[in-house]
Amino acid sequence: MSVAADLTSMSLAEAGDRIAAGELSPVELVEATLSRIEEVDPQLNSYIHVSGEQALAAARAAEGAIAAGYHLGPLHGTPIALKDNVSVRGQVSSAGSKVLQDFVPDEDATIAARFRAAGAVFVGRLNMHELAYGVTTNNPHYGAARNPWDTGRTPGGSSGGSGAAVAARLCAGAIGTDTGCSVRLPAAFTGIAGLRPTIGRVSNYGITPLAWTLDTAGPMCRTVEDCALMLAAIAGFDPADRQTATVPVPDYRPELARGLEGVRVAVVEDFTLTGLQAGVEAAIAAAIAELEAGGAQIREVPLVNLGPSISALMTVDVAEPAAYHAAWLRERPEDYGDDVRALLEAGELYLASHYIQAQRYRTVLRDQFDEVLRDVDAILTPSVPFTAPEVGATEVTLESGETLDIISAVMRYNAIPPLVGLPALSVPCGFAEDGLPVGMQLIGRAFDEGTLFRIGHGYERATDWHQRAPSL
Amino acid sequence: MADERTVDEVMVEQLARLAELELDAERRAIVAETLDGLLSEANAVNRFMDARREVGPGVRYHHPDIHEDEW
Repeated sequence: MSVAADLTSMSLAEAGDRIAAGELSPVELVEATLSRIEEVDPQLNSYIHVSGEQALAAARAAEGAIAAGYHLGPLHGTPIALKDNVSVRGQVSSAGSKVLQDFVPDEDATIAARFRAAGAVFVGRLNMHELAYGVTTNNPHYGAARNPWDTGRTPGGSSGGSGAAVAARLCAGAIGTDTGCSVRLPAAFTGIAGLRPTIGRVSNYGITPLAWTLDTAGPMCRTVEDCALMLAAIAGFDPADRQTATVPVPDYRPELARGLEGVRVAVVEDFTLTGLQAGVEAAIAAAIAELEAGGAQIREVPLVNLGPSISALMTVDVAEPAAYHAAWLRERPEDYGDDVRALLEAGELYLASHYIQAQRYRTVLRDQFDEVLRDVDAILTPSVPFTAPEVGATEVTLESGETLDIISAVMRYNAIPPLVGLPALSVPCGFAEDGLPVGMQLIGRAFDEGTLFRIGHGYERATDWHQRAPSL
Repeated sequence: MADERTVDEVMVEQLARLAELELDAERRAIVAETLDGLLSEANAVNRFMDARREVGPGVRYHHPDIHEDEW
């Protein structure tokens, strides 16, 4: 292994600790990251734009500041990357689209500004499904992103570039956005950790909207601990986004150290372990056993009314984007990719009553989850019922033999957290019979991301799935 | 007062807005195929929630955790 590869294989937490201790130069780390991007990314297409010169300048500034005694915290001097729908002052922020290909914001998104304040170094902008409106990152304008575990497979989406880049060690951590699945799905498909925070935990200001009542941004990293560090840097009330909550943001590191002993984890009857690809079922069952062996109390709970969840998610996630894109769809429809354009046009034909009933359903579901989460700390499901399909796939055949469009197929477990607004963490928990990664999803109480980090980190301490790296 | 003629006019206005999309035969076929699955899903949610029409909840326009003191 080369020195450069050695540097990029460090977790964000380890790199941050070594930088703080004066043992690692941010400039050398960023140089190693840029070098690896140049070497590996032609196989993955995970980046839309690499900011080499700007990143090196920021790394030199970080190095100078730290040497002068101004250390800004665990992210200072670490190389991270943002999904292309997050505004960065002076950089084209196209959201993976042609519609916004000339959009150069004159201010940072709130999360970008907070990362800058924490001293993080932006190495580039990550590929994504066009406008975050899809699950494959098969982008018609910037090319398909590919899965580092098998470049013939999709990394998922919409934050597929984020998943691929983190898994392949092309940045220490990344930001994804999650409307219906778009942090957790690519995290699971690429074998990394990804958190969808509680709605209201992280500001959406300066992030291209998809569906206002579902959207949220979250960290995607190789470890749960790294996700906690990134969330701590960006979470909290933002006067520019009235949907953000005034709930205080805790220090997550003490929570990580608490371990699994006594934590209560629910599996859902006739849901958590049904209809799965054989290798996914085996990995999830083993993860449940591992949690129990570590001291977690596993309980089986019934959850009813889950049936309409995919339909309700799709209804909201079709109606709201149609509203946002209505003017552009009339002025420049040819600038949209085929799949996105079809969904936006279909969204014009929904009735208000469809939308309202879907929103009412969210309240039914949320009340039920709040009740279950009074007695348990987290609800465990797979992140996805199957492993990554081939690049270009539009349908998936499930274990039952049923063939579904790929969006509906990936939503079985993913749809629930956005509908109820609760946080959900995808944690790598093994590999299926096809050699591809499997993720488990932990759903928690509102604004209690800390408990999810505690469980995920406790599980990672007992396993080594998060340390496996694709051979690129 | 909404007489039948006025309702017709409203429907025409709605159709005119949709006509702005200028969907040709090819686009109409694509949209029809997309809608086929989506609207059946939306209608399934309608049926599910219709059973809760009398006693069910309304819509929370904000999540209950956000600005609780303001709501």
